[in-house]
Amino acid sequence: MPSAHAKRAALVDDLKRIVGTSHVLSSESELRVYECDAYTLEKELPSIVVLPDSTHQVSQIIACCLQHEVPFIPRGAGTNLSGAVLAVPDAVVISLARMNRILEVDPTNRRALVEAGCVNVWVTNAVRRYGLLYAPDPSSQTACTIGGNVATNSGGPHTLKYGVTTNHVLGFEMVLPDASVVWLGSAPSDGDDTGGLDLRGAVIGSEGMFGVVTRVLVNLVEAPPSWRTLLGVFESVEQASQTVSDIIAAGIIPAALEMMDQLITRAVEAAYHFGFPLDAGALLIIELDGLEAGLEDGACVVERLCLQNGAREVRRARTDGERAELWKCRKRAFGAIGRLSPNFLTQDGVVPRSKLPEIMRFIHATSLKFGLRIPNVFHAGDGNIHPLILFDESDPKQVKNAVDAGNEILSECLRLGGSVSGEHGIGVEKASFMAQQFCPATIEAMLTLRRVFDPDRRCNPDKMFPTSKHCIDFAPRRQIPA
Amino acid sequence: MPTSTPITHASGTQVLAQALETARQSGRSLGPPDLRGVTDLIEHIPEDMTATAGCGMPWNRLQSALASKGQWLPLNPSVSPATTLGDVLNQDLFGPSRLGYGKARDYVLGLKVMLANGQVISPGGRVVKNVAGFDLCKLFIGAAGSLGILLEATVKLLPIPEVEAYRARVCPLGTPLQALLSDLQLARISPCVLDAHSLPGVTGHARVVIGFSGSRTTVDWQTHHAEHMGFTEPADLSHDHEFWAAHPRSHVLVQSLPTSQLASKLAQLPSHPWICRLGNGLIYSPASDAQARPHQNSALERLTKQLYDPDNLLPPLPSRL
Repeated sequence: MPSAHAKRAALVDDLKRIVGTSHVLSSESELRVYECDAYTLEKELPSIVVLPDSTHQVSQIIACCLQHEVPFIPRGAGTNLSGAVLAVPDAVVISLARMNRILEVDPTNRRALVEAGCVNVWVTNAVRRYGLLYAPDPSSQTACTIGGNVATNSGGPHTLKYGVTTNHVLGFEMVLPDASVVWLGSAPSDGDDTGGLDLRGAVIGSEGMFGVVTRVLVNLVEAPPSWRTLLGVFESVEQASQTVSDIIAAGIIPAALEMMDQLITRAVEAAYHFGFPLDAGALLIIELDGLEAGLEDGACVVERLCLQNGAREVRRARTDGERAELWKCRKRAFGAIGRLSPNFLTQDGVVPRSKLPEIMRFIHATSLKFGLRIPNVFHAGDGNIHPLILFDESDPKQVKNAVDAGNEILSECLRLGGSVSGEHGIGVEKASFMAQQFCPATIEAMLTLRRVFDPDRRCNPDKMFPTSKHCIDFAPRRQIPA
Repeated sequence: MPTSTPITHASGTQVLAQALETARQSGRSLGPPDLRGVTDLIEHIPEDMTATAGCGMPWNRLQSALASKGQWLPLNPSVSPATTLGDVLNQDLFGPSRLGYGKARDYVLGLKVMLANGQVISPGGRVVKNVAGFDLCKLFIGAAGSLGILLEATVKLLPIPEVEAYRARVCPLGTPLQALLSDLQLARISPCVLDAHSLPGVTGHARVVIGFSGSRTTVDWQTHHAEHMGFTEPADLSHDHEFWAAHPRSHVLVQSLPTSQLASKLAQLPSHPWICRLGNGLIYSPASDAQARPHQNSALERLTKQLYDPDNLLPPLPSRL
């Protein structure tokens, strides 16, 4: 009976024969980079990391994992915030980092075919000269991959008007857990409609649990010819929230509607010196885009509504540069947190838009209850909140309080009719919440879908649904600074 | 071969579950479920732009109720008065506004579905962004009822646009139509409708209908631009209504192709009738008997059907194009 060590060595050899020696990582120092994703509260060293360069290699790797009876986990850039690509014992992590090419751009049909490891913003960069862009723009877009976006059905600030990943992916190639290759949805030679079941839609957002996506056909949209980007400065989150409601009630659908509270504003200002007022209770970034005709009317209505709700001032980005700078501050907000705290827990919940003031009051009360600061930066137009719970990992009580505070906020989101995840996914972080959000029959129906693709649970196991490891009170073993 | 058992009495979900069980025991399929108990607009929250309705609710009545608060579910399939919300979702129906507004899958936030085993599930939710769990809603939309009986749907809404305007022009098929489409792309206007349709007794030409919606300023600017491109005839969407009134969907051939191939494909079609969503690459024409036969589903689709409806109580899978 070969030892575990010998079995692993044999697997390493087999994988090296598929991708070449330099693309199989098996030493501890090499594997350390892959011990977690952006959810840093839990870590697990993968057994092996392999970096294929083609769909055929991915298929061979999965066949090899089957033969050796080990699970496998697809991984993009590792920016996921819920531990969706956390390794499990004996798992082979299949990194798509080398499969990052843009294969075809078809501006006439407004499509692009890319490999799953292609970085999100590279798509927009490649098609900008045709007056096109790829709409889903998560804040991590300079690092995250299209394959990863498919896995979590990623959003971003502009989803209010443009939708999320599932609205912009026409089809994709995927290697199934039995190593066969399928194409779901539209292939490059197809029209937009394929009929039959929408298995493409069912796989998007499945957090890498149904197979390894290798190539993706994305839909491109026309870059809006014009924009108006406004910054409303308010005394309170309540005023800003009311403004959000009023804008929507006026029949205006902004391209983006983002809110930042005072704590996060101060951190962002210290980091990026945009000129944000440090004493404002809340800032609202409102962006309208589209044809120039009618845009100014919309901007004037927005301005009026801000002032009506007590805005101290309403600024406008006057140039492309100012607009880009404003968005940089927003999209790098998480990165500015280091100025406030050695550690933070990023939360991701959703409430109906009309419940925003209520959840913000609850977050404030939770902050006081647990004695932790909780800055907020979020997609106000969607009701998708991102409370950032600050703590110091050197104090175990703060660690527990941070986790408990996050859990209470998520429970309140559910009580208000929302969801425990708007963008970041369930992963391992929120597996215990699935039974709170969904009834047993619904969860059973999800597990039935999983059996279609992965009856033996070899692909990214132990995620999303409670297991013995994650269904009880969470006590993190290790943490590192964010 | 199981035979259908139409359910004619009004039923709540318990009775429906019982009907499924009865069908299973007698080796028959269920037949069309009676959804007369689920015809209400259950909730409409205008400030959230969401609504929840029973899938038995007539489509036109739903849109009227939403319109009373200035909102709509942005799909405009040509339907009969009997068409329900459930029909629209089960068949993934859409109309000319597909170009500007998308399809049902872009608007459904949550569902209540009875599965073949009688259990009721609630995938999705009531919020506009939600990635918790697998996206089962996508599975049921357009599934023709083959995986479950849709009971309720929560949908995202949009404000009814301030103004809509339509214009038309006639264009020769082939290269001239291709050139017109290229010019429209370059013009950087954003039509919400771009259809073409055949003309009775006329060969080699199509009538192209373009539509805009939004604020008056935006629509006026774009309409003016379109008029300069030859779209001078005032128009509406009657071409779509007339086609679907004359041709039941079960006997319509649907062809889906990349939009760049449309112009040459249309030039090869029999002269009349057909309609085309120029912006989405879809051609609809009466189907011959051979064309009306369903196309085979993939192995994954058949496995999905087998797992969700092992006793074949529900309708067959929708055909691939």
